[in-house]
Amino acid sequence: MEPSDLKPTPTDDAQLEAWLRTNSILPPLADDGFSRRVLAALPPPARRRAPGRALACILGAVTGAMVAALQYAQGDGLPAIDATSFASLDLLIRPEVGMALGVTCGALAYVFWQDLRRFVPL
Amino acid sequence: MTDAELIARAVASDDPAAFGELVRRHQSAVRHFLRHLTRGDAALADDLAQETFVQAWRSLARFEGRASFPTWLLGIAHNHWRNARRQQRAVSVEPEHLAALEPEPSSVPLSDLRHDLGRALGTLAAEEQTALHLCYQQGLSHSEIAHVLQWPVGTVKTHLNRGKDKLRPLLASWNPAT
Repeated sequence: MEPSDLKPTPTDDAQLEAWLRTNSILPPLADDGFSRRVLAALPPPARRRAPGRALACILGAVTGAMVAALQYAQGDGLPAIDATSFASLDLLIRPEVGMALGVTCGALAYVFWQDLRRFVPL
Repeated sequence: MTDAELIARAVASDDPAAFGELVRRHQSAVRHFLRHLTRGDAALADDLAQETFVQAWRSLARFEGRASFPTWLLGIAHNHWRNARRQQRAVSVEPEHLAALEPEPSSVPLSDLRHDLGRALGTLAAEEQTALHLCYQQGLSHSEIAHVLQWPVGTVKTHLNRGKDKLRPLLASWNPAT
């Protein structure tokens, strides 16, 4: 059994802590061209974000076209949009139009999220 | 310019120069950490450090500042090391590889104190070594270590305390407790 006088006291622990903090800190490593190699390995900015955006835009366009085509094929026709509709906001009350607008806004926010963050503190 | 300002600039204008300054500021901490994890394999550590910074560049817009930037980087570095260890058995942490901690190549000979400290640390379990490295050699807080290693804070404290208990007698000749 360990003698009680060998157990660390709180003071010992604080002293060991201080000793380790003083003597353990590592000297900084020289860069030696490391940063230059990292910068050379970075992907170009245009390729960093474009594929995700393009994919989201294409998916959105294809989905919208399919929905419109289905509705047309079912014989409902497409809702007529004219100045009167916008003026009375009747069009926005229709659930399918409201849902479409919501999905569109969400998709735009997703696609341009990084741009929004640049100008708006989100 | 602060880290936050450089990050904002790098994100806003895809500015590699701003990111380059962040790399220069934090390369030492990331490379030290990876050298520790790879048991002093400087070449492998630098490869992993490069992958860490490239990943950071790709994910920079998603950095939310919940942890400090260097802590976030060390977390990415730790993930890369774990993935590399899974893929390559050469990086595995076997008990026989634990003998030499911090055998970093240097033109300056290690002081006796640092040598003894390295040897003493080398006798500890890998988790204890890593916790002590991040706490004392990198100066991270307990919560920052928990963030980097994805451990609960209590686990961090346990490994630190166990490590210190083992170090105390090993470093007695340096009289750290007086």
